[in-house]
Amino acid sequence: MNTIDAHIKKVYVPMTETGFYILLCLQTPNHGYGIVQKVKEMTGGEIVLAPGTMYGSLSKMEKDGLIYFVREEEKRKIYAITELGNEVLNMERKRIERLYRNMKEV
Amino acid sequence: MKKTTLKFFTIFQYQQEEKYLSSMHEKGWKLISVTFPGFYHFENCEPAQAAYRLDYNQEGIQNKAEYIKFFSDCGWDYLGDMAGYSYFRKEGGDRGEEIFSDDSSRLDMMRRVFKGRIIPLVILFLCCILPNFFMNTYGYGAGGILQDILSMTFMTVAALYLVIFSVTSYQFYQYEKKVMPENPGIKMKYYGITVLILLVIICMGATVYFSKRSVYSVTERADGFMIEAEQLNESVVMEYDFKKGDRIAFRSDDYDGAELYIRIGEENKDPVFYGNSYDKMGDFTIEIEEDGRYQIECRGRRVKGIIEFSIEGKKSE
Repeated sequence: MNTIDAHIKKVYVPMTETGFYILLCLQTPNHGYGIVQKVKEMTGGEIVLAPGTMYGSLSKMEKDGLIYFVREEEKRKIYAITELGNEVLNMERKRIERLYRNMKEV
Repeated sequence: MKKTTLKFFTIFQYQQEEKYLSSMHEKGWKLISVTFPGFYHFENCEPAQAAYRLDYNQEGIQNKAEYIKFFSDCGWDYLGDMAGYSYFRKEGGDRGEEIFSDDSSRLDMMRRVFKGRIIPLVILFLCCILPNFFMNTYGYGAGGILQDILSMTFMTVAALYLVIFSVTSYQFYQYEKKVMPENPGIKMKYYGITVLILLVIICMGATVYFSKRSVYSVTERADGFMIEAEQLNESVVMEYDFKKGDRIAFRSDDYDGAELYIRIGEENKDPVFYGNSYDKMGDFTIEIEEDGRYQIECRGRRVKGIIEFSIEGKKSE
């Protein structure tokens, strides 16, 4: 693991809710609004991701190499997760699993 | 019916700006567009609740079509840009509806504002305002009254910038402290900024003090007088009775000066000699053609060295 990747992993874990859902959803290519809709569906309408937060996160994650731009469709940018993005997502997954386990035990 | 208002908000008062726009909408005025430097154009509408939000995202402005599309998909109407800020509205949305769902992304936006609006000011301040202030206050500038005016102007502008930097840093500090209360680096960063701002103020004050200070001595001799100046910043006037045929010789030594003005003449009459020099003033001798009481005036601006006037011929006594 090179030092840049190590730094990025440190910055992104633990992750914001928005960041986590972006990476989770982009395991299949999607555009920003698609992610918003999917998360709304997943959470029964409880979580509606905000566009300012989303737009900032998407461009930051693209710059940091966690996701990449696939193509543009009807003025909507479609992104997908990269290998680094997957690694970061797995680290976060493990962290949440540990949290969940410990919560149940105590 | 339409109306336009002119209002100013500082770059970190975007929340006050949003509240203002929402309250206008509740009074039956909906925002149509904004123009620099603070014109808000409204149109009559049914009084209603509406959320107004500002984003600062230069990447979004560069990819405008896609950026606006994303916001409009999410139910936010795009109203226009002003000075890097983009304006959005959600009609029917209550005042609590946000385009940022967490503090860290809101802080990211403020960082973009800082990069886009404050960094250019800092560069301008360091590369233009401050050097010009130092040059016109303590250096060889345009000379005369013009240099004083420039020095004052740049001092005023510099003070204004320092106020902006201080206020901005304070607002930023408040925000960062709120978002990341655990991070000890934040306090250090703002201590650093405070020290830097104070240092600039001290340097500017010292420059003004040293440029205005006068340190010199005047020695009167039987045949004239001598000024030994470490720094002459004021007027030295000596009075003599001269007779026709008296000669006055000016000589300078070890001399360095931003500006020296010399006037020789009777009071309220045209001078028999006057000269102004921004570099070294050449030695000269003049001869008096009319009896009378004469004044020799030497006015300096950061003049350093020895200046001598010797009166030859008939003595003044």
